[in-house]
Amino acid sequence: MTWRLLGVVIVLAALLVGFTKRDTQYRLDAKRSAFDQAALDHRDSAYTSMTWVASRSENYFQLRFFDKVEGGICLSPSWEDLAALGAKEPSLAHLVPTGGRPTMAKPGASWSDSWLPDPGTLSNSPYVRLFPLSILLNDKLVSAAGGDPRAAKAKVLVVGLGSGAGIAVLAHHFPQVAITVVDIDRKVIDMVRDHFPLIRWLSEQTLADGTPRLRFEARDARQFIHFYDVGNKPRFDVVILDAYTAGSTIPSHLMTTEFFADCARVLDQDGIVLANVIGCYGVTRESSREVTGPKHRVLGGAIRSFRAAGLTSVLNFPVIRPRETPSTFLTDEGRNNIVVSSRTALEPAANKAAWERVRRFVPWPELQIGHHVTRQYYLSKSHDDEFSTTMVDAKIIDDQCPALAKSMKPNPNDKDALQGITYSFDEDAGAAEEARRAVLQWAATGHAKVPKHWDEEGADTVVLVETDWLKYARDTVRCSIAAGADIDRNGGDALVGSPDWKDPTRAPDGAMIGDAPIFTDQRPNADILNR
Amino acid sequence: MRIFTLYLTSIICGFCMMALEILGGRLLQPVFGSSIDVWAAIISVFILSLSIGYVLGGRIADRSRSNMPLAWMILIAGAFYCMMCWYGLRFSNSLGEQIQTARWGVLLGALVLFLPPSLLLGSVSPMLVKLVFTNAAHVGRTTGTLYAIGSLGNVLGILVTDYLLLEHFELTTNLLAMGAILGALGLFHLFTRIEASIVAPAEPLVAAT
Repeated sequence: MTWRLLGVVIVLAALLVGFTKRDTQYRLDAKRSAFDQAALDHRDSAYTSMTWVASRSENYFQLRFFDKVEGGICLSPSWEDLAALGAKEPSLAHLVPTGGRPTMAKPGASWSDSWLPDPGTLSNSPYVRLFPLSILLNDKLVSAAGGDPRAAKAKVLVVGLGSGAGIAVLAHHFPQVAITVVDIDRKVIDMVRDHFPLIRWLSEQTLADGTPRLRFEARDARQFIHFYDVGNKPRFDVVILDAYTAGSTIPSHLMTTEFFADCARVLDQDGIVLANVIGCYGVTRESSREVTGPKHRVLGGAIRSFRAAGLTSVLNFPVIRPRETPSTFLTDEGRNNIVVSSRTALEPAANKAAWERVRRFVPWPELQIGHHVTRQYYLSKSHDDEFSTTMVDAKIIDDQCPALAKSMKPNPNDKDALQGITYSFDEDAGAAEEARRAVLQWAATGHAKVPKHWDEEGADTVVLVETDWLKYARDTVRCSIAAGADIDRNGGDALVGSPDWKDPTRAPDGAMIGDAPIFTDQRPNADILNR
Repeated sequence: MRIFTLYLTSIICGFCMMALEILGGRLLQPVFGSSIDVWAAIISVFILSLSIGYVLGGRIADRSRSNMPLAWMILIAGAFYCMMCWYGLRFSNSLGEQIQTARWGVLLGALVLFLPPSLLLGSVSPMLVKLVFTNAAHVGRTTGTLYAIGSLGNVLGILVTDYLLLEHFELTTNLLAMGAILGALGLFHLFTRIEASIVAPAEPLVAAT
């Protein structure tokens, strides 16, 4: 009998522990995250687990897969702001919701606020800001539109939806664009259409000739492209490859020469494939030729595979953030690279008119610097990377200790805040304590509960992060374009050597990424290398 | 009735075991991604634990005359399922960056997370064989049917989890529900004694002559 009793106790105890201590797949309270972030909705699918997360103090609306941020859009300027601008500015007329705003889905149970996110088109993630290159670099397409990229009637295929930020960027800059999105996960498509009002509205609109402005296909991209009948359907001017799994790896069947050749088949003669490739150049700080992890082989492999598929002209735009020096990407161990390839020569010397447009390109020209700025404080501890509070809205502290911000000095070299400017009081426990008290005071006066980790003592550094999201966006585009134009360092030949080199396992001598393979269906493996 | 109970046990254990294999991806993916390495690690750990479980279960079955060891195996496996709601993701997340980025890291994660419960469920099969065995003339048929039913449970565990459970319920809800079912099944066996029909000879027969 005692044994039976023990059995009952074990089962009940395990159930109790499992039920009360169960962990979630999505965490919102990571260190140094915005104190006011909240989950708008959370859904699971057969492929992933996703959460829409919004923070007004950090100006983002992000779709997270598991707890990874795969992309996001700024909350300010909102779609409403853009529509109001569009009432006066003809260049934004295509974003004015004529015929009313769409009806959106109800937020999930985790959302308790009364407002609902209404993001516009300013992207919060850096790499999608470069998607316009896929149209700007196509001289034939833009010339056919009288040399005005805004009039280009581009047909774009996007593989991998994510948050929809990239689509918003394209829709903002190219009013005549017709976008088809193919994503394997219908639940991701539903999640974006249910909670991103602008995207939902676009998917219900048509262009003057009756083509839908945005349509979705819930299928595996390899299948969709394979069965796309170019005899009956129009070819695309642009194919954007941005499909990733939850572990930030590219599905290996979407990273082979055969797949790229199929992309080329559905592409117009002068069309461009733009791929987001997380990778690196395989150079470490210690030695200029030493190879790091295998990630550089993914980037090099992608470039060689594009060329093997007939898209021989390849440019690489490493996504560079404004605080980085032009050479940091050489030694970086993994970043977004925008790889652009085409049958037609894209290099600056051979594609002068298009490059002129690329250099003149002003992202979000209707918006103004200084209007979409966030300011946040956090506390940290020198020599203790683990210690950090959440980031609180600067207003909370500034209201109570106005002198603090005024006496802080900018940190020109802080690499932790690549997007903005940081100010700090290093190893000044008094200042840290002052800021902490201000936050506790703010919470105590009935506004809210204490932001996470602000009740922990021991901080000796106050940091103020100031970000101008429009400036950040424009700087990213400018720096990345400058790097991409430097083909002696970042062009296809510089990275993986001549396209005539056929050895599938390694690039010719002198190439930056010497061990770049050609990925084929027989040897895909981009998922194994990309970690 | 007795045979029905044993078949039901087999199908439930088979279901939960393969369901954990699919759910297991969710415990590892947030940290290790979902490349082919992750699935290779999960599948190899499950097959390894089946192999160890068969040996272990077979030996225990030979020494026992009832379903009591079976009850404990299922019950403790259920407890692991429940507890995994607590330590599963925390464990994956707590592995250092060195391990998280190493190629073998995911193998280590899968071993620690899945070896204990799947080993326990793997040991169920040989114990059930001993219990369903009634007649030496039909040994092939009875064990064959038992394996077939267990494998059917495996198939259902994979498909139902993939097509239904993952989409409609959270990871921890699924784990907790399966833990509860296994716990209840274990307790049922603990309270319902089933005797094996073959009894080990007490002494070698040679000694009697």
